[in-house]
Amino acid sequence: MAAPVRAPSTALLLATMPDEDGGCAALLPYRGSLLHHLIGQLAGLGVETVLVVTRPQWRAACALAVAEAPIRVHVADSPDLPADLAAVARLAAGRTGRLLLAPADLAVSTEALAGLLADPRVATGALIHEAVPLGAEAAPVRVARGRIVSAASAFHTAARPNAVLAGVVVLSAESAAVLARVADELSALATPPVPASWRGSWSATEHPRAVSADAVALLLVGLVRANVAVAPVSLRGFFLARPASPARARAAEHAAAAVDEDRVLLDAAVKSTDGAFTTFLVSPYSRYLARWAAHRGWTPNAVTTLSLGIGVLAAGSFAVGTRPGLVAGAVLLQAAFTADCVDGQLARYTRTFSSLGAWLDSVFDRTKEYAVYAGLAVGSSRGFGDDVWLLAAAALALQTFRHTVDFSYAGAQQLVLGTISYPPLSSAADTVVPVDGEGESGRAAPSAPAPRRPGLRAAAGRRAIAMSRTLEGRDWMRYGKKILVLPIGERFALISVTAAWSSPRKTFVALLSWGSLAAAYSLTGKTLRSVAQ
Amino acid sequence: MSAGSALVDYRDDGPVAVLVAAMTERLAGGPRPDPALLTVAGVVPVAVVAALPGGGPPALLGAGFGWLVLSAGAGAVGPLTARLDWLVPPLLRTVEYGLLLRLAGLNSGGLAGCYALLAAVAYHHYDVVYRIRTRRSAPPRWLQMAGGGWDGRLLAGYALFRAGRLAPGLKVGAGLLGGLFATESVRSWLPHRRDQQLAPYQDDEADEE
Repeated sequence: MAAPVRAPSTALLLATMPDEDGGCAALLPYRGSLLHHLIGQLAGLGVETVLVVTRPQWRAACALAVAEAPIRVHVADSPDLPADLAAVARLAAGRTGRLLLAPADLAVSTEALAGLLADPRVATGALIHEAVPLGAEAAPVRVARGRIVSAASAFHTAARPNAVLAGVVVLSAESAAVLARVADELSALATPPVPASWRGSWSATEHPRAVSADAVALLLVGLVRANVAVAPVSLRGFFLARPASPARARAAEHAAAAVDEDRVLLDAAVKSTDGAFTTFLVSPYSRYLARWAAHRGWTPNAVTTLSLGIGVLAAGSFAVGTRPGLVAGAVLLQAAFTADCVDGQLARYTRTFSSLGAWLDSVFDRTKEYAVYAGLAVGSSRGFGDDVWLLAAAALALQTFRHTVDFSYAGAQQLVLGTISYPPLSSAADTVVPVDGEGESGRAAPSAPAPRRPGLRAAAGRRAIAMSRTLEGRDWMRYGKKILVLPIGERFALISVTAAWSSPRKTFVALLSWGSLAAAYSLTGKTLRSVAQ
Repeated sequence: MSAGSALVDYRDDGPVAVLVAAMTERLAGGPRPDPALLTVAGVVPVAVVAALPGGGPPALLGAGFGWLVLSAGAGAVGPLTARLDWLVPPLLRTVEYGLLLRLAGLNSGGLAGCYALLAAVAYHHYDVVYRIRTRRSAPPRWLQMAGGGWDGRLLAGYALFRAGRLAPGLKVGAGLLGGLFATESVRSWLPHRRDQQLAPYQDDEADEE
């Protein structure tokens, strides 16, 4: 059912991470070995060639582990981090296709990899994980406006992090050229003596496991500071682990086997930025409609069009101007809204994203809403003898104004993103980008890198619990704010309820008063933030 | 297409505003006037007059319309890059929709037509945003000019109001503009029906709905 994956032709896997006993972590047992399994997954996704970079003492073992791989695999050795980076630079230079970069000691769900590689909106992107640190090797990043705007490595800190890197980075051919340049630069910088500002960083001297593992994070810092737009692709509920001992590798194997991938894929098809009404009252069942539609072979655009059709019927029912008409219109409007949620979830579930689909979805949403306003106004004149065209037009003007505020502010923020000037790679600290982060109020930020020693794991666990409590507490706030700004789900519910139980006039009065409050709130917040930035 | 130019596209300036901006540039020279201040300075007087009972004295209201087009139009060409410049498109939207609605309200029986006209204009305003978002290209310049821009529609609305022909004018305008905007928009998609959604992934939906 999944759309064809635009596979990178080449994958570069870094099997340089030592396990807890000093052996090669990529060779830990995991459905064979981590390395062998990952190569099998990449082959299944259409990758043609894999280059494995490992330490000289592990080369023979790695070559043996990949001997039966279904695709071409080269194993190269490299003595240290600067040489790893130089190897990346050589491979990335003069590339014509996409390139995947990942640590080889990674146990990851195939669907998570497919999600990163298949989304056509992602030219260059990285798997990230919000909220809770993944473990010893997770480097913090900051995500804002669909971009990674700051990244950390063993030598660099991220400014105001709100997520962590989950290892895998995919690069467009153009970004691969930038990667070659930054890998060369980083290779020179990582050659001792390292820059003065790198020496004080959190793990450079104390945690050799982190340093040798961190080439991907280091390269991500290079890409971000070279102003490459790296899209964050959230891991959502998919499985990912970087086991550091045979016992943990076996535990990861069991944990991965216990995950229902289709279930996670379906859950991940639900947008995380939806409002409260959509999240709690529509998505819990609309995702099953999306799966049903996928199995029937329906396209997202067909469902979008169906949603418009139902919306127009709702407008027609409202226009009848009788109580049954209003009630039928209210029910149909909710049906249209459900179909509207299904189309996006179907697109994400089947990974069929098209420009036209995105445009239709947005334009039809507006068309439905304003057709319903007109239907209500017609019905009010016909059935209730009450001319409410002034209110209807005012509600349309107010809603358009509110959307324009959002569009314009988002445009201004993108403009800021286009003109960031980052510090050079020799500097450990990063600049704070004056752009709002995603879900800023809702997601706990792993503000410091995770502790790296086993003795500190308990502390990490306690912190994770504290963090999730904060998260729950803040979720209420987040959804409270979302309800206040009257997003589409709440708006359509308000229309249905007031129209069915009261009158079109009341519907418009409700839309106008709540909408004005929402406009004032959002306008004040955005203005204050622009002044503060 | 950078976001700075997207904000300029969101303004939806018509031929009159573009002409005013070009003349201002020639006359004033020197530093560019601040577009946000110019817009506020243009909006406030006409909003005050229109809020008076009966829309104030017709001549004064006319002067307000004229001043609006001169002041807000003067910022039409400049880039919208300063901190609060993102307020300009929503302000222009408010003043256009608000004044047309006010005129229609003063004119008995024109409100359904006004709704239709605003819906047609709103279609265009959303289309600009969504096309930039999904295809990285704004609708063509000729469409923006043919649609009259906020300036052209306001001046035409005021002229029809003074001529006592606002109600039929709104209906005809809604039909013409709706037909123009929808036809051009649908035709523009024909060669792009099968495009995958490429370009950097900008998750500003989070903000919207």
